[in-house]
Amino acid sequence: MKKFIAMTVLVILGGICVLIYWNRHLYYKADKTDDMKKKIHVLKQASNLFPWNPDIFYQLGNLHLTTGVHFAGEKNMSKSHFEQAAEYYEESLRLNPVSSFTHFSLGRTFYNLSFITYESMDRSFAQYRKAARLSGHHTPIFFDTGKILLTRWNDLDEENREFTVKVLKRIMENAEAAKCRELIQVWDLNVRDYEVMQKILPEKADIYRMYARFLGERSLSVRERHRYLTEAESIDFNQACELHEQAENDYFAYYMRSAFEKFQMVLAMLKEIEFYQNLSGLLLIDRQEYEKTYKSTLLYLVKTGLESGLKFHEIKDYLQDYLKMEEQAGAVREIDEFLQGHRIIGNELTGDLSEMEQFAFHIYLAFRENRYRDIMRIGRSFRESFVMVPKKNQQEYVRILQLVGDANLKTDYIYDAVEFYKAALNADPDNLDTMVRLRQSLIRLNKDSEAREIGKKINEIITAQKINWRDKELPRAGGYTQDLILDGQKMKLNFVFERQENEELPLVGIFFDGEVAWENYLDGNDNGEKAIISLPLDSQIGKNRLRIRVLNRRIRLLELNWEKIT
Amino acid sequence: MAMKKRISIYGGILAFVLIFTLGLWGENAKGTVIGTIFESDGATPVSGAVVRFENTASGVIFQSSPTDSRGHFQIESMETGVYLYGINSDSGGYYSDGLIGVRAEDDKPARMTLALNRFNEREKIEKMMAAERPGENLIGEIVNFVPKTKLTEIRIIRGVLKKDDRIHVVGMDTDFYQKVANINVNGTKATRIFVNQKGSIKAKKEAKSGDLVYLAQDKAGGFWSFFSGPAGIATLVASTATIGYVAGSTNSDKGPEASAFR
Repeated sequence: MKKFIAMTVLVILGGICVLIYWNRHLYYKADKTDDMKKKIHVLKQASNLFPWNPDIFYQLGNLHLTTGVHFAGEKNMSKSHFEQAAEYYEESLRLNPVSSFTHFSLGRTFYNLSFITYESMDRSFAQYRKAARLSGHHTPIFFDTGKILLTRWNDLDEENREFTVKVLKRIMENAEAAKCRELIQVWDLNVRDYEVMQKILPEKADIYRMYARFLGERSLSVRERHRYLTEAESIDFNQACELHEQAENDYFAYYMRSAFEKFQMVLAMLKEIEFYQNLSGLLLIDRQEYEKTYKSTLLYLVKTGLESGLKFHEIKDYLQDYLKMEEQAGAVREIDEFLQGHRIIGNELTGDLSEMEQFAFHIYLAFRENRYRDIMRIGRSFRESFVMVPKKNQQEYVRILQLVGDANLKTDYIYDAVEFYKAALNADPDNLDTMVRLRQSLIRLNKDSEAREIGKKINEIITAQKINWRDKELPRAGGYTQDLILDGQKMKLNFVFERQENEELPLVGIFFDGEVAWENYLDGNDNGEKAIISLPLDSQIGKNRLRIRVLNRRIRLLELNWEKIT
Repeated sequence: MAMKKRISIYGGILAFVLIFTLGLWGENAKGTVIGTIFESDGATPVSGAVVRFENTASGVIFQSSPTDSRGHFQIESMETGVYLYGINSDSGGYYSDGLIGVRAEDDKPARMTLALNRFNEREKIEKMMAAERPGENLIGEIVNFVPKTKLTEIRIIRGVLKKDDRIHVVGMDTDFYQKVANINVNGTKATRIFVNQKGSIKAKKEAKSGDLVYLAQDKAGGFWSFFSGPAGIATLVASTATIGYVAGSTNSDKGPEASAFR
């Protein structure tokens, strides 16, 4: 009896195995056939033989969906195929309810049907939601579902909106830029609620910048744009600080080349920050922290550059910028000793003009260390001897003379200061720095007429108080850069743009010396055909870089004029 | 009594007419479609481009006026239905790689964003376009021909090839006309081959790889005669809920299926 039962069970199991095998055989047979009708016939055979294989029904659904799609436009034919496809998908889901692809395909079928039968898309929407729940976050299904749900945002209830936000947030965290931009476009057409974006956008600087750029290009909220640019800059600053730390570790571990390259990246990141927080009001970057990091980066660039074998002229710009920022005499003394240790400069301040670049720096360092007497001694030796300076070292020689004049001024030897400034002006008659110093000294000596003469020359050199741009056109997403030579005083710059009727307002940004000074939509209501922006700005002596940028449409620049603010 | 009967008959006819016309009116709902055309970056608007939509069921063509400096176009009184579309711009013609469904609503315009994606092999296509023939539209090229079965694989570079279209195959040693009977795309019977897709038909005579395929129009005009040389594909990037892809590729067309039976 027991043997009989065992044999029966074995036979039944064997039979089931044969059915499963034959079912699978028919499945692959259908796969190899091109003829649609034959495919369907074979698959139906397979499903009759073993009706518990969800793949068979899924493939039948696919065939009918594909056929329905190909007959799209022929209403009755496509409707019939879509309806059959839906039936097969539902059968497949009955057997395997956790298939994300089947849910998605069923959703797509209902979606296509809704264009033919005019029914609501809620059925398709429910299937897409299930598909998203079941699929991985990196899959195309997940992306397509998120996109479709976002398209239907206004019809979603609170629970479904929360679900959609979770889906979209995951997509944005992992998707490439083009996909993120697609989602932002869908948001623009269907949602345009900034709070929704706040929930969806991941904390990534590049995504924030992309979104901010989109807002500008589509003439949307400038306040949101500024907010996200501020956040992006804050993230970039934090990343720069982290990289600075890593570079410091490399420095202390004597990986000088690696440290130098990292510090160069840090400097580039810091220079990218345009301080949009000045416009948004969100003070996320501590200015002092920023300047401290910037200064430290410059110093490390000098040190790591020299340690890794670079020549002085390759790091001199970093040294110059660092010294402009460094106020403490002690820190200057340290760099002095560092440079002496690397034989860039000697121990004593001698009048050796053979290495003019290094000598100019040495005098500057001495000035910053308040060693005015030593500098004045150098000046006297110049006075007593005949100095021949090659043209290539002209600028360094002028700088030395300026510093000697400054040292005399510090010790109240004003007449001597004037003498050295005049010598510097002889060597470089158009040097604005020298002229400003000379004018100030002449005023102190009450030599008003001479001071006025110098003042006239200064006015000739600094950028004219009015620039006529002659209808210069800036294309959409275009920019314009101009260096203004100014005398370091506070001034009001007036920008005049052409305003066009019945056109969307242009979004214009004005940047001065690397920071954003103004950005908004131009409104020329008060001035008829012109739109005027007036900005009070602090200039520095010499070159001041002005940049104008327009994001969303082209614009004509008419004129720039400025006046001093007393 | 006879009066009541007459009233009920006329009432019934009126109700039927009303239902029929109301039903028809519901089915033929019209609305406004507003769109924007961008370059492939999705940011630079394309101005001066014209969009054409062809209702695949009725054959009615809707055409926009040229897009403005912001890339905007608008088409009014567009019917609900499934459409083929294409864009003609200064840089050439851009063809849809599928169909879109439009559900027009009276009170709310439907919105869409399209992006123009240039073909990478522009130079090759331009050379091909230099071989334009009067009265015929270059539609694609032969990429493969199997002499034994005469199965011919065609790649469409412009427009769409449909079942029952009449084609002219021209090459160094090839020159014949035929009607397109059966189309096969990715191993499945189809009624169309869209731009940038490959599909197979059975050729009447021998052809060679590289031979050009022209659409021999029975009459002048038509949807495709409007477009200039093929420059690329126009894709639907984003839309409101009443516009969507009915046919054409999506991201999720292919993928493995996990099953207990594998």
